[in-house]
Amino acid sequence: MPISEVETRRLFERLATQLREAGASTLVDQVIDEIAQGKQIVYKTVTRRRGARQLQRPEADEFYVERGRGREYAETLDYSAHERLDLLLEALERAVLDAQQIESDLLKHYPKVRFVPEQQEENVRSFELSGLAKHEREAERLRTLIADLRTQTEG
Amino acid sequence: MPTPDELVNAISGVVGTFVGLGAITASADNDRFEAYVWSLVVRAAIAEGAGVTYRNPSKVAVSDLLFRTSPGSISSKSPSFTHAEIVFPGKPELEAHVGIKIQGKSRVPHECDVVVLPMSEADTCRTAENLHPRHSSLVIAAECKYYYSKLPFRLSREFLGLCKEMRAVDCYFAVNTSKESVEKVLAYYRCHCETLVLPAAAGSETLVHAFRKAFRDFKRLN
Repeated sequence: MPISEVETRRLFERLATQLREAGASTLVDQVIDEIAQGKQIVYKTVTRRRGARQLQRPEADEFYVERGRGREYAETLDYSAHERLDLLLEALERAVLDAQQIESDLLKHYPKVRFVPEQQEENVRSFELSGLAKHEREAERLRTLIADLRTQTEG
Repeated sequence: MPTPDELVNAISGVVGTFVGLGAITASADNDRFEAYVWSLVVRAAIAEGAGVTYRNPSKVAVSDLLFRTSPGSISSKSPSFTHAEIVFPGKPELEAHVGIKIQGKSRVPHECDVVVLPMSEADTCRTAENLHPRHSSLVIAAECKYYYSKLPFRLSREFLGLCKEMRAVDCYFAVNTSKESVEKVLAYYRCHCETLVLPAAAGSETLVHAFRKAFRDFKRLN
């Protein structure tokens, strides 16, 4: 049975806080931004009120032109508590598992790949690919933990 | 079976280990992704029959790759950043670069994540300090974005701006994730947009096909 909306919200907050403490604030911030942006846009047709007249707007493009008796409006839907938690788990998969996959793919084709700043004064650290690709077991553990949490929250 | 709270604790623990290894750093993840898209360009060129050699700015062949952590000038000699030299038999030579500036239609230089351009244009810029290749010379300009969550909507506006400054037909939006509204806007304006660009994912395959078409068109026209 899926856990309640309230309990899912609490788990989201707990995971988000712990991820920030672990140094993954960027990831949490991106998820929070997405939640604020909303899930998707749906279009609703609103029937024109009788007697209502459209204002003259010569600059309006085709989307503002009323067709027939209805007018089409865009509406943004909010994410549910379960969807929010899933966004966070998906973000973790992209940050760790997908990133590791990309690194492994590059190292399969090229023996050594390094990244350095062009200007020495740039406040950017250099790095070399290999750090993630070597940690398959930890990645597999993360994959399993995320799957287990999904199972428990989705029922 | 562990409780959800125990699972959350365990997940945070593993994530902490990866953060310690330098993972979940947006700039590094974007750099890695740009290199990956660049490697897809190379694969597309090889699939279309090109010979590819990796070179530094002095044109010396290299096997270890060195890329920029932030966009720079094609003319910089040090550090010795790597580019791919792409040669189709009987055609003008091309080069594939990561993170260089390109002069747009407004004549202002723009940062481009992955670029394919004629070697003659690259040579012209390399012989002088800080010259940037012109947008009209490009064969491919790929804007790469690596996001943990879904794509922010503003990225579609930014990419439309890039398409306006370059030739839209040469521009590709390559991203690891997706977002319906972003895809919808870019589809409306007939932009090249490839989502879920990841190893073993359909997005990478489709992107390689799109790059192959760009190379085929280049061969037909030259």
